[in-house]
Amino acid sequence: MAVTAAAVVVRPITPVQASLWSDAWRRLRRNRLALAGAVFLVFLTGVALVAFVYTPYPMAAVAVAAPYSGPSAAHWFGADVIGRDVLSRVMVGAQISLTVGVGTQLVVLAIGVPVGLIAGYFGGWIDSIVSFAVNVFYGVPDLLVALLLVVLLGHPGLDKIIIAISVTRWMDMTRLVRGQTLALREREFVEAARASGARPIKILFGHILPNALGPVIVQATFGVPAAILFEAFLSFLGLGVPPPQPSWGSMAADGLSAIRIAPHMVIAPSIALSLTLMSFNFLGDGLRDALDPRSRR
Amino acid sequence: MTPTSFRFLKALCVGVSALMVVAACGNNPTTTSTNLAADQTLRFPLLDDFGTLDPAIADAETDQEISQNMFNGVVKFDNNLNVVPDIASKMPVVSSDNLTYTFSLRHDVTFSNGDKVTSKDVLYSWNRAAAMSGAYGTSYGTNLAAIVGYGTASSNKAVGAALEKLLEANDPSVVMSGLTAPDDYTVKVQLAFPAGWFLSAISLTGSTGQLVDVNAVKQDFDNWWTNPATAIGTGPYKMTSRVPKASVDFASVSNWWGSPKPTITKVHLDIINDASTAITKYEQGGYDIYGYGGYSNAPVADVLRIQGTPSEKSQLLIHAKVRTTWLSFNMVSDNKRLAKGPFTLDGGQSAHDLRLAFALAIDKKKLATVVCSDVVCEAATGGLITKGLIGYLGDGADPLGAYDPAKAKSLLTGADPTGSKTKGLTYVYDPSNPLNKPTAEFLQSQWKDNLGVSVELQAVSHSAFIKSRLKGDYVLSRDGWQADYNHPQDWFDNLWGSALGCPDSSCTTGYHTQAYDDLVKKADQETGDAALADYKKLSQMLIDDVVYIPLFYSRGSFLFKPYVKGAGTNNFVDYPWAGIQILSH
Amino acid sequence: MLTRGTLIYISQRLVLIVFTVLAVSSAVFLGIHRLPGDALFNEHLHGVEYQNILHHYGLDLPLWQQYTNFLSGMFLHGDLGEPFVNRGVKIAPLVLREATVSAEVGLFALLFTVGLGMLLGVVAAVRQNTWVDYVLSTTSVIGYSMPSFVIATFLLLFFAIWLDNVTQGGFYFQIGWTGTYGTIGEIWLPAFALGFPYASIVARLTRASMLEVIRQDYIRTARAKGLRETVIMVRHALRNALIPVITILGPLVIGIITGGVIIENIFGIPGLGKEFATSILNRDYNIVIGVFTMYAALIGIANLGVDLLYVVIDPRIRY
Repeated sequence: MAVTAAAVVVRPITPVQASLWSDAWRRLRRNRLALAGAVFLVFLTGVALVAFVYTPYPMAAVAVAAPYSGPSAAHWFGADVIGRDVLSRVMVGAQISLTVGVGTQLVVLAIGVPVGLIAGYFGGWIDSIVSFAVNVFYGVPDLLVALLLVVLLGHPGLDKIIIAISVTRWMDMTRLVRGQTLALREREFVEAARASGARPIKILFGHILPNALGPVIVQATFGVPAAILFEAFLSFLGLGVPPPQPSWGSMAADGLSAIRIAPHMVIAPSIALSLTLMSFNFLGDGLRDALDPRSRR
Repeated sequence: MTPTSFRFLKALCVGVSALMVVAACGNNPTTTSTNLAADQTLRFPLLDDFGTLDPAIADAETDQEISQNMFNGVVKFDNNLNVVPDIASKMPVVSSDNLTYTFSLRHDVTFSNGDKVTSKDVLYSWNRAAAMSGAYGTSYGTNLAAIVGYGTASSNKAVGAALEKLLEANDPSVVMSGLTAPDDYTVKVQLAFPAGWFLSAISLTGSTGQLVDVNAVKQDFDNWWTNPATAIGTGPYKMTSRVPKASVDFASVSNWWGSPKPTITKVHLDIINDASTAITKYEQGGYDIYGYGGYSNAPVADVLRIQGTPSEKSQLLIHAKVRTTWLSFNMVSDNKRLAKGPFTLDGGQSAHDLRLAFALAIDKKKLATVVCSDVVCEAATGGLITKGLIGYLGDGADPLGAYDPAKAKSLLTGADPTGSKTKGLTYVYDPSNPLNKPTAEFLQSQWKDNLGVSVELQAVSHSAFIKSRLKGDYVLSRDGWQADYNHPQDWFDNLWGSALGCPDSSCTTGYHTQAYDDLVKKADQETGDAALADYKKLSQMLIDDVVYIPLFYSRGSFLFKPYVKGAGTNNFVDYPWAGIQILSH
Repeated sequence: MLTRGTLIYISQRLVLIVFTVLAVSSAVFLGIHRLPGDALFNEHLHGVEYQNILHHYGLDLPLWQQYTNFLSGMFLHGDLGEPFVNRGVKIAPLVLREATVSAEVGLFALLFTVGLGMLLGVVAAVRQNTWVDYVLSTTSVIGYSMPSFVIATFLLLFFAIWLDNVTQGGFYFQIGWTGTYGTIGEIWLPAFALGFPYASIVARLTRASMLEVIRQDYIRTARAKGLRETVIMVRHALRNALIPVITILGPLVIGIITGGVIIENIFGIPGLGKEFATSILNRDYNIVIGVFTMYAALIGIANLGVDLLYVVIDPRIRY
């Protein structure tokens, strides 16, 4: 049957009002790797939360299995150097990694965003000081400074590590925010706000920051795996969280010397670490592609 | 030649060679030079650079394991730990009151630079060691403490070139008056009290009794041993090159005066900080021995793996080492010892019960199984003095080595009902020995499970150990001692008591009581069974006051390639390099 | 190229390096000096004799005097003092030697990083959306997501142990380090392990940048002119794709230098990183100061080298 013109309903094409966020969300959804990463991270967070109330064995309980024994029905990831259950320790390790990763980024945001905004907006001598500080910190090797700080701050602990890592990594965020601010402050809407008598704080946090939010989020997302990796290095060198808390890095370090008879001791935390890092990296990639309308894959 | 005679000749050749093979297998292969490899270089790893090779200062195992091949004393320990003459031509003549020792020296002893050794070298070396004991704070200067005049010499404060001047001028402030040289080859030693341990003390390998060459030392009083040109000793090996923290090389001294004459012509040591890497390189053929030089703490994982590898199993030697590991409490609290804590002596009976509770809450046998897989250590149930040494109390004889969680819990509830005293405790350990960290974690979990007490762990490197104890948080720490010679004096003089310097001078526990000080002084001056009985009473004192929690006796793990002959270890030290040979391979 | 402007720039940077070294070593020196718990005390040192040791290291002088002694020692005599733990050794020649070793491994790692990374990036770009591209992209993500100590250990397991067993000692990676400068056979695996994560980053960057460049008009013109594809890729596309790589070269070099700390510990290489880790754990603060000083100098020189490289690569940049 032929389709007559009258039978065809012409629906007016109304443009869908797409905001930056819904547009970004749509693009993100299409990025399968980023989605996979996000799913894994949700799973990981779930495991970390569950670990607060339940792990197959207490993570510090010694000799629940024969030391160095491999994966079995009772111990899915095997046992470690003194017979502790590796699966339980990996679960608790997730808490530590996520805390360090997210915690450092929160501190970095708390420092970097205000400092970058102020430096970029006001310019002048404030900007010179901030830029100088940023350059000085860039000139010093981050791992070494962090190592030294951890040693100097006394008893190793989660908070000390977060401080040490933040001190060496705040510059990236500051530079980014400063650059964004520099670019944005010349825009008309900022001029308009200024002309209408808005105070600088309102301009900074009400106008500039929301428009810079995209790259800031991306930077923060990439910063998390960097911080987690950093913490793994610190733990590997023996300067991470104190025992019996199981950081994935220190678990890998402990397992390295036994790698020829008990590879599961290294493999389990390393895979957990790598999957977490990869997920954050994929997610960061996806967010960057989604939030920057001009970037092409 | 006709075919038949050829065949006969062949048979003859085969027969003769068969005979030779049989002869070679039957006898000691070291007697036939045909078996030796052309390249007699011995290579093994050190896990850390040595601190010093100066016998007057050396106190670390590595330092002594190396310098025992470079220096000699008047007497030494043989491989069976008997005291035998070294530079002396025979055992000393001892007076009936045990106060005078007369040594006759060999006439043929020379330093590696050709200088002949006479009795004045003995005097110089011993006086120097005594004088440095005061000014440099050496550990084993006290080995000479029984000699008349040691008190004067060891209160010397001069150092360096100034001290050297005094020594060469025989200044009375640095000379032990009890040490005299009636002629060029006789040394007379006058003791202030009949110390039965004197010969053992001066036999100590690589230590204060060994001879140094004044001509070499005076070139650089403090650092003569760092430079191959001035690192001169009487031993069969001399240093030929050194790259600090990377490698050291030695070569045999030609026409060495002693015996056995060295077969190994070169010794090469690498410094590799990681034990597993060193073992891997050994397995690749990069080293001939592993475990020499004081590094016999192979990681348990590697030991288990090698035990399970048929081709390598025979290369592994697990040997008792005279080393005990235990836990020390801070027992003294004063304005210098900031540690404080609930275990101090002035806490009286409740502190005593607290210490006992912590001790009984640890299952030592399980510790040995879990941490050492019962291979590289065994539970210390017979007191602190290691099993096999004089002064060992006997298997299971130490009540502090028992495991009684019920009693531990009741003691704890009695001594600390609210739990306030046992809050915020930290156990400090050094991770340099791979066993220490698993031990620490094991202890932590035992206290948690059996007592309900949470103890934090803190890793501090070996050299920073003592200082951190005085810093403020430490109250519990890993402790240990490797015996220097087979005499209880070695333990009781070096670990507790005011004579050592307790409580304020880097004394682990700070433990010193009048009873202890009096008894140890008495025992040090006795000989024979009287001394041993008194040392046993000292052991009991430590037990009554719960001064320690015993953990385990260590075993050393060594690897020897099958083509290395003559290498090995007695409980104390490695066999000297001079007895080692490399067979062709 | 070596204009007056460039020379002035170089000398300015060198002065900056000296200042940085001064600042870093001072900060470390002063920061560390307030700490107890250093390595000077072994188990038997008695209270009185401890004073002599302090005197030997000059630690009984007031702080400002120690500081000026330290500065004059470093700048006038090239003397960084002695370690606390190993007597009779001077720190300056020690860290200098170790810095050379680290620089050696680092240089190899850098060459490998940039070379392999760019190669893989180009291949992935040219073969975009094929299986080659997917494999390479995934490998590179894994490369910079895995901690280097894990990669290094597995490489070691494979090349040093498994290969040794399989070929009965015929071909394998010999662990360790001989002589002062090592041999190629000992450097390649640690350099590979060190550079692998960064090679992955370079690969991704090169790929993205190549993809951008390929779409440019001048590339189409070149194709229209009839130039061969390889010529186009190498002569035109690659040159411009290099620029973002050069941009990250600075942080890359710093990353390689700090990554060396981990790698040297695993492979037993006697470099600055291993020294740093051991002396921090030993609380041997004299060496820590020396190591930091050396690192500050190394990084300054490396960054200067990178900036000079800009001049070579991009003719628009002049100082």
